[in-house]
This record gives sequence, structure tokens and C-alpha cells, in this order.
Amino acid sequence: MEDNILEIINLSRSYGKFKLSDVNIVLPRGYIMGFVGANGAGKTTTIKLIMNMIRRDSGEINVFGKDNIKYEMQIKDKIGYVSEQPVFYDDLTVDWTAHFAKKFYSNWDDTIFTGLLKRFNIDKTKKINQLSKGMKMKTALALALSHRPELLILDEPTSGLDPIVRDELLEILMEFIQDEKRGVFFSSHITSDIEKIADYVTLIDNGEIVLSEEKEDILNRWKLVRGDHRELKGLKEDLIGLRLSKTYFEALIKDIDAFEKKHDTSSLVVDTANLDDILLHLARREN
Amino acid sequence: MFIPISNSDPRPLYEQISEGIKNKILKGELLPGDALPSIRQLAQDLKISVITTKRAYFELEQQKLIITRPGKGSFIANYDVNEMASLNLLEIEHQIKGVVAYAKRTGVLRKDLEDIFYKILKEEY
Amino acid sequence: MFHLVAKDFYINRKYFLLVILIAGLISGTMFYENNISGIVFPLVMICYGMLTRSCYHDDKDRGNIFLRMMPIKPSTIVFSKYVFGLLVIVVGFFPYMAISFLGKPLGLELNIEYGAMGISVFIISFAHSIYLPVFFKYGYMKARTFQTVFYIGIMIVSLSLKSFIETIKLSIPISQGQWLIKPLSNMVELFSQNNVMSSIMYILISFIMLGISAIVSVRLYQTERR
Repeated sequence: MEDNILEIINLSRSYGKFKLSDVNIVLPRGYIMGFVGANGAGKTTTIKLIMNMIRRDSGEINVFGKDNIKYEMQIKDKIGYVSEQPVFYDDLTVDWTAHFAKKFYSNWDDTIFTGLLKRFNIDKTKKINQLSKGMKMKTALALALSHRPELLILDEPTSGLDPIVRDELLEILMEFIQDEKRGVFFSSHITSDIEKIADYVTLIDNGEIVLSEEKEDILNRWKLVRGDHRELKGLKEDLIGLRLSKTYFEALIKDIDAFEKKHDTSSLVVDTANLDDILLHLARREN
Repeated sequence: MFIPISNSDPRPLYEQISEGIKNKILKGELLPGDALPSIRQLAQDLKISVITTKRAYFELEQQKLIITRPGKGSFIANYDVNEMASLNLLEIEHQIKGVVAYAKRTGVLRKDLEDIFYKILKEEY
Repeated sequence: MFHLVAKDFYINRKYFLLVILIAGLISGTMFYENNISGIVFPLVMICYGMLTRSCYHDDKDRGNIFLRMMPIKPSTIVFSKYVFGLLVIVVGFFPYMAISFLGKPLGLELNIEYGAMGISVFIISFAHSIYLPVFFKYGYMKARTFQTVFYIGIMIVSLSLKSFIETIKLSIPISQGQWLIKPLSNMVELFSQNNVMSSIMYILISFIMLGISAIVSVRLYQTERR
């Protein structure tokens, strides 16, 4: 299937001083998209708009090719969602919570839920408020997967969790995506997680999408350049987030091929840039 | 099937994978008709993105080293032995080019390079 | 809908037992003292308390996210709270009715005061009708603050109104004020009658109030900024 599991077109929403403007994102079926950005860049707002938890001012959101407001019930039946800080009813047990959720989904599968709890080592007789942060996230994940969703939406699932739990999550996501009809959209500011498994990366900064492309293309094209101050002349307009230290400069470039065609790079160091580098230099651009 | 990939390798991941598989074919570890893991399985196994493995397989298909049958998976193709040999030579050429480039960068003289090459040939081959 | 209401009861289960116990105790005391209208205030507090507790659990950083991620219509979420509010009233009255009912065979003359019941239903519904739209728009904390301010306001207004009316009463000769006082006192009489009729009227008005409030809540809930 070549269709898109998630499509966001010219989405806007303003919120007091904060403004999410003209967001465009496309995620084809069968892939994982990482949604990267600093805190407050608009990740959670975008995700809540997809979930129709807040209203959009303008634009369009299609999930499974259908408008997310018009077909909200139908769509939500096939979405698994894990919020930033998973909250259920504190005083109730894991088991009760699952039994409650089960009533609302058409495809709930108990064996998936019990299987995941076992795998995560979660005691289902425990109350939600007795679970640690990692356990809560895993419970939320188990709940999100048990109704056989096609699209998994995770909002900062790994923040504040130890590397072991994070690795478990990545494992689960890779398993989930074995079925090529499915898709994952997850936001994180821990870019190493996204760098590992994401097929697509969307970078948001200050309410605007900076780039949204295949991860490999991004990592192959965006590079760091370093060099002596003398070399700076004539380069400046192509450098992003220039940082001057005492002995050298460092900056981001958007497209190494175009850059090499235009400039002589023999006395510069061109280095691979990871998503963190890209984020950092883009943030510097504004200051 | 172990495919060596490394973060410190400057080559893109998909290239590391396609070359890794190609090497196994060249060495005869993988024979025509042998099944490869599915694109998604391999991605899960290596904990890398699906697009990366997809691209790696695509490269191999372009080189006619593997064929993918929809719904069945990917297999090592019935490659031409002669073509394989020339591919092998191409690979060697590629590697020597790397060495020469390194020598050039570090200012090693052509004469010294030749000496080293013949010395190694004498000892090892 | 059913599951949502059941969930509200389940979450409040401990509080719920306490409510029945207290309501029973109060009802008993009231019968004993033969001052049945005294039951109104505690009942209102109990029912209102239970509703706000269930709202607390469904607040925006709590149950709301959980509910909204599932395929549940926003209007269903809203209506379920109103249904819960009504059922809470039934629960609150249950001990009162039970005591009256059980007292009869024992030879105790424990008549149900329908008027007091009607007033209670009316006051509780009024409180719910005001509270829920604010809750669905602004969340638990703001709704609580709003309610506190609102009721203090009502108290001040009603107290000053009372003294205001008394001043008017004194300053206007009876014959001239008749046109105003007569229908008013007629109305007061109608509503304070201890009969089934007045009770039904109260309940009818309560339903209309809750209905309007529910429609407003659905609107507000769909446009809120959560």
C-alpha cells in the first residue's frame, strides 16, 4: 500500500503568544516518523491537534486518508496514543483500566495486553499510582497496542526514562512496524532514539516545520563545516548557526553537494552532523 | 546472517549493508537462491530504519545481485560468474584508490608506495 | 455512556458508601427532630461534592486525556456527567426514602416531605447546571474557584435583597403593593406546598435547567483549549 497514513496540510493554530503556523507533514504507511524539536517548539500541540484534543484554526489533518474531525470515532478506534505523561485513574488498577478501555474499542485483544504486561513485568493488580514512571509509560504502551491500532502516536515517550526502557520501546516499535500497513509518529527531544529507527524526520522549531524528509537524506546532506576564520569570507550566506571560537568557526550547511559545487572546501573540515547538531545550530540561528 | 555495520564508518548505513551482503556473495557465503531476511526483519534485527534496508536491497537489485519477488522475499540472484569476477576487480580497484588517496594526502612518495605494494605482494601473495 | 457513568461510581466507591451512611444518619436525625426541611442543605453538599470529585478525576491533566484518546464522542463524555449527577441525587435520597418506608410498619409516622425533596433536587440541579459548563470549558481548578465566588456572590445578593424587600414592604402601603406582592406570595405558596405537585414542578424545572446546561457544556467542551 502506497497511501499515506498521516497527512497534515497547512495546519495552523495560535495560542496566546505561541503560534503553530503552516505545518505540513506526510507519513506514508509502513514507516516511522520522528518528530524532533526543542521543548515548547510545538510538538505536543501538533499531536493534540491530530488527536482532536484541541481545535485547529485552519488547515487539514487526514488520518488513514480521512478527516480527523469528521471521522474522529472511526479513526480513534485505530490509533494507539501515548501521551507525554500517561495519566489514567490513579486510584484504579492496571487491570481495571484495561477492562474499561476495552469497552470502547472494536478490536481489543486481551492476549496482546496480557502478553505485553508479562513482557514488561507489570503486575496488573497494581494501582496506577503505585507504578514508576517507566512502568506507567509501558502500561500506556500496552494499552495503546492492545486494540490493534494501525497508527501509533507517541508524545515524548522516552523523556525521563532510563536507556533500558528506551531500548525496549524501540524494540516494540520495530516489531509494530513489521506489518507494513502500520505507521508510527513519535515526538522526542532525545534525538538518538529517532536517529536509530526513524525512516522520516520532521524538525519543528518555534511553531514552524524546518524540514520533513527521509532521515538518511537529511543526514547525508546536512553537514557540519569547520575551518579557520580566514576561510569565512564568501561562505557566510550558506552557513547556518555560525559559531565562532577563538581559533576556528563551526556552522551547519544545508546541502553538501551544492556547497561543494559553489565553494572550495579543500581547506575546510566537513563532518557528519547528527540531529542534535542540526537542532543546536538552527536554534542558534535565531539569536 | 551477520552484517557488519558501524557508526564510525563514514559510509552511509545503506551502503554498509549492501556492501556487506555483496562481500558475502563474493566470498561465496551466500549462494544463488539463498533467501535474505525481509526488509522489515533486517531493519528490526539491526535496529535501523526500514528505509535504510530498503535502499540497501534496492542497490543490490540494481546490481542484479539479488531479486525480490513480491510477497515472497528477496533471494540471491543467479549472477554471472564473469560479471561477478569483474565486480570483484572493481571492488579491489576501489580499495586501492582509497589507499592511494590516503598516501597522496599524507605526502607519501609514489616510489615508496610502489615499494610497499610489491613488498606485500611478495610476502603475501 | 453506561461505562462512563459506572466508572464515575467506581472511582467514588469509598466516598459513595460514606455518603449513604451520612445521608442515612442525617435523615434519621431529621425524622427524629421532625424538622425535615433541614435535610436539604446536607444533601445538596453531598451530591455536589460527589459530582465535583468525579470531575476532579476527569480533569484535563488526568482522565480527560485518557477519555479523549479513545473513540468516545465528546458529547457522550459530557452527557455522562449529567447522568451521573442525577443518579447521585437518587443515591442521596435513597436512605431518606428507605427510612420513611421502613418506619411505617414499625408504627412510626414518618411522612416524606415532597416539598423538601423537590427543593433539594432543584438546588442540586442548579448547582450542577452552573458548575458543569464551567468545568468543561476551564477544568476543575478554575471551576472550583468560580463556584466559590459565585455562591458567595449569591449569598450577598440574596441577603441584601431580603433587607431590600423588607424596606420596600415597610415603605409601600399594602394596598399599593398588592400587584407585586400578591403574585409573588402566590408563587411562594405554590412552591412551598408540601405536596407531590410542587415537587414535580421543581423536578421539571430542574430537568429543563440541566438540559440547557448540557447543551451549553457540549458546545464549550468541543471548543475548549485543552
